[in-house]
Amino acid sequence: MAEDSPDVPPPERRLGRAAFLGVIGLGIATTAYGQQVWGEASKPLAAAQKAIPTDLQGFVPSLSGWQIYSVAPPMPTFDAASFRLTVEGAVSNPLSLDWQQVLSLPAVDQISDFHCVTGWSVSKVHWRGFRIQTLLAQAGVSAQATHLQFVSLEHPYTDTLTIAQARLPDVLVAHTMEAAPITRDHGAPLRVVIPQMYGYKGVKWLGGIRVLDRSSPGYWEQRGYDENAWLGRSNGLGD
Amino acid sequence: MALATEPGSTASRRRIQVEARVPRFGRTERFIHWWQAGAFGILLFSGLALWLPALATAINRRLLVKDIHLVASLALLAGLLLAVLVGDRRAMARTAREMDLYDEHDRAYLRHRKLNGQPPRPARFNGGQKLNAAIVSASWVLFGVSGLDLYLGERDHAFRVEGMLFMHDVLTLGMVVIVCGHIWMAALRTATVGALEGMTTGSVSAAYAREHHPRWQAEEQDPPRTGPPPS
Repeated sequence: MAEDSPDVPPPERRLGRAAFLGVIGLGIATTAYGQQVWGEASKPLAAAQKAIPTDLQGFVPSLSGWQIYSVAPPMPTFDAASFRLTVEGAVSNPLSLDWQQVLSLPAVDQISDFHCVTGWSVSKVHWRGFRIQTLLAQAGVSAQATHLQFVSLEHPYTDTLTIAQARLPDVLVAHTMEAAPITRDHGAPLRVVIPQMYGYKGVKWLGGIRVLDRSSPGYWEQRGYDENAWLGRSNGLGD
Repeated sequence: MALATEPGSTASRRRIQVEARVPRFGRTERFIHWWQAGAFGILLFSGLALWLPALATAINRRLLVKDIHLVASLALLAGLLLAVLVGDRRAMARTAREMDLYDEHDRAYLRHRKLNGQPPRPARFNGGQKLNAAIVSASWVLFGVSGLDLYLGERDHAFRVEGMLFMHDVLTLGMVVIVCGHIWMAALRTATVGALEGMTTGSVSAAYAREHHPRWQAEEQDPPRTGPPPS
C-alpha cells in the first residue's frame, strides 16, 4: 500500500481521550445546570408538543414533566354509568356513591406541586375535587378508626393515610386536573392528592375507601418505601 | 462466495486474488461489540417502556420492566469484565491506542476537508469512527453512574443527586441518534455496508480496506481454499 511522506510522520494528537473527557465534562455540566436551561427551553417546546396528533403524543417523552407509572395490567377504564365510590369499614353508614353523587360533592380548587419519590416533579398542578372530610362526615367514622385505606381499581394497589393526614388542608380527592376530567393514564376518574407526601401515596383509579382501626402497608410500602412519605423527610432522609 | 470454476485454473486464481480478505476484528473485539449492542437494545427498549407515556400505559408492569433494565445493565458490566479478564487484552489495548491518536488525516476527515488537495486517507479507523468510540464509551460511563444513582436514590434519598435523571434522559436521546447513524452506515448505506462483515465474520474484503482505510497496514489473506492450491 502507498505510504505517505516517509521522512516526517504526521503529527498525532491524543484527541480520543480529549473527546472522552469532554463528554464526561458535558455530562457533569448537564447534571449541574441542565434542568435550569431546559426549564426555559421547554416552554416553547411544550406548546409545540400539543401540535402533535393526540394519538402520537404518548410516544414522545412528556414535556409537561409528568411520567406515567402503573403497576399491573389492565389499566382501569372509567365507565360513568357503572362506577361506584364505596366507603366502608369502621363507619356507621357505609356509602356507595354513583358518579353523579360524586360530582355533586362540594368541590374545591387547588394548585399544588407533585413530587414523585423517583425524583421528578411537576409544579403548579391545577386540581379540582372534594375534601375527604366530606365523605367521612357522611359515613360517620367510628371512634376506634385511625386509618383510611385507599383502594385502587388497579388491583392490587392500595395505600393508607392516617385520618389526621387525610384531613390536612391540602389533601383532596381530585376528579379534575388542569380544568379537564382526569384522563385514563392519570387515574380516571378519581385520584388522591396529598402534596406534602410523595406521589405513591396518592392512589389513582380510586374505587373505594376502607376505614380501619390500624395501618395497612400499601403497595410500595410492601416493597420497602416509607409509610409516612413526607417530602424531604422520608425514604432515607430526615427522621 | 464460492465460484464455479475449476480449482487450479487461471480464472480461479485471479478471482481468489480479487476476493482476498483482510482480518479486521478479532473474537474479543467482536464479542465486546455485540454484547454491548445486545445490552443496549434491551436497555433502550426497557428504558423507553419506563419513559414514554404510551409504552408505560400499554405495558403496565413497571416493576418487571425495571428489573429487566437493571439485569441488562449488570449483564453488560459482567460481559465487559469477562472480556477484559479472558479476552485478547493486547488487541484491545492496540485498538484503544488507535482510537486515542488522531493524525492530520483524521482531523481533516472530521472537518470534511481535503489534505494537501487530496481526500484524507484513514488508517485502520477513520476520524469519525474514533470520535464515535470516544463518545460511546464516555456515554456508558455516564449511563452507569447516573443509573446507579437513580437506583440507589429511589429507595434512599440520601443518595440522590439532583440532575441525574435529566442527564440520563439527555444521554438516551443522544445515544439513540448516534446508534441510528451507526446502524444506517453499517447496514444500510451502500458506500459503507462492506464494514458490517468486519464485525460479523471478522474480516473485510481487501477492496473495501483499500478504499476506506488506505493507510491501514494490515495483511491481506487469501480466503480459505476449497480445492487444491493453484500449481
